[in-house]
Amino acid sequence: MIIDSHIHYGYLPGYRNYGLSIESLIDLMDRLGIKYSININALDLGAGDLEGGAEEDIRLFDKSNGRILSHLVYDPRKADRCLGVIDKYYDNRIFKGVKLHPSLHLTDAVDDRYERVFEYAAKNDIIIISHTWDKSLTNPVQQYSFPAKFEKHIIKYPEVRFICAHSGGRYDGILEAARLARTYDNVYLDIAGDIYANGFIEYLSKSAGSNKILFGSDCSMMDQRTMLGVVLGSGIGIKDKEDILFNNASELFGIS
Amino acid sequence: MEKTVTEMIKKYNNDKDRYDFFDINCWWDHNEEKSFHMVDTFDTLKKELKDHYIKKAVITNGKTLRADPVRANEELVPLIIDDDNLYGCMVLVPEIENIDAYIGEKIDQGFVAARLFPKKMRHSMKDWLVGDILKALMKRRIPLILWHNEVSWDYIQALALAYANLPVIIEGNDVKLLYHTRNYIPLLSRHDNIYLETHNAVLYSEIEYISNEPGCADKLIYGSYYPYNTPDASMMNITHARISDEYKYDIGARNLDKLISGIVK
Repeated sequence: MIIDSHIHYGYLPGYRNYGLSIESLIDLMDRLGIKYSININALDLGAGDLEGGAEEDIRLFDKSNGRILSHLVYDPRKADRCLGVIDKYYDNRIFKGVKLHPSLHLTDAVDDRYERVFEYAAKNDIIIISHTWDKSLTNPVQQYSFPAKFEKHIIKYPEVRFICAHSGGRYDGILEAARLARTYDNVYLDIAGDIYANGFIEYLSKSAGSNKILFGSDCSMMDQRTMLGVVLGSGIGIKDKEDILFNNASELFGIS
Repeated sequence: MEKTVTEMIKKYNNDKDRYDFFDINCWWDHNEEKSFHMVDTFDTLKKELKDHYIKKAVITNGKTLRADPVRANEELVPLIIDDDNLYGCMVLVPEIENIDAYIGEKIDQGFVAARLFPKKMRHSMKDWLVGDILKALMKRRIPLILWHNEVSWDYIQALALAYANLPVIIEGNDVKLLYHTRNYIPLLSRHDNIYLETHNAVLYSEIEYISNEPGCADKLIYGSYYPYNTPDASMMNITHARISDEYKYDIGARNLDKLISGIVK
């Protein structure tokens, strides 16, 4: 029962999309043995249509017989509106957390405007997942999402379970994300994205512990087969692979 | 009935073994900088390729990008010349004298592809500077590999038209290729001599989509970017694609075999 902890359903306008539909996605999941996928909708994350994204998430849940779950989105520049949408829509059968994206929302992770969502998550027992990445010469806004910048929130809210999406993305970011997961009980790592560096899974398992790692793909930007192949082909033990592919997510998100 | 992880691994390994992967994008490099996995010796490289079920590989010396590329090409020769499953890829620069003879010599030594890096090596790709190289490659039908971030899509299109008998393989190294689908899908479809190396063709169902596009069925060439990348990131998209077995064999190895068999000695 594999759980893909990180997909994006919806049309992403920056490139040609290959006809992603709920039917084709479920078909692919069936063929790969993926029971559940957790979606961060392109509508609310990218286009800022918070209500439209949440409504579509509910439709996806229904149409997939409960197999496509979702996260809602918090943009610190629209804190009131986002928390209002979370209040209105959060149903823990469908929604499994709240996603932050400092790079996309052009707001550094150290910004105090993230306080409100951490406070809200602590009160309501909600998981926070955030885009994390390495500093990049070609994409300077990635510095807003450098894993270490979340540390003050992680320390202040130890009861909030926090997922570093993409595990920091590239080398220095990965080292930092692994350090956070190793240091703090409430930090987890997902491996979604084009993180194909040789030895990445082996390093993460050794450094952070395979009990802290979640399988994710970043589909539809990356096909679910890429990171699934990486995990299956990696040089870690079977139990470690089982933890990464389903045990950890099952426990963290309460999916049985 | 659900498969166990052990069963999934077994099937995946069987499939990898079955499609006889021939890797066009393999590098001989210690991979020391910001790396989670270092390859110390050439024997280690060969062993790891085997462990990943890669049966044959075209190897470029990583030192070509950090030192004298001609010297680095030479260093590769003794490593591949007596190995039936390993081939070389030469990195060329405009100042190589007597380029036609140089390429001929490299073919005799087991090289089957060439690379140009106009940005990294800081040179023009216009005919006034690299025309002799392009003509020599085309005469011998040696595939030219270009990274997508080294040239523009307009340049690739112009090159495909001007050198219609030169096979050009686009490789999506280091920077995401997925943002460029609107350019490379039509190029693959419209030009017989443009190919795509697969390691960064990772969009949802991309292998299936390209395989079914008119004119694209034989345009995909397997590559891994090993040892920088794990080959596993690029294999399951092919082994578990919803395309015919014939296409899987083609992408895995036969499309590249066909290009190599077309090289004029």
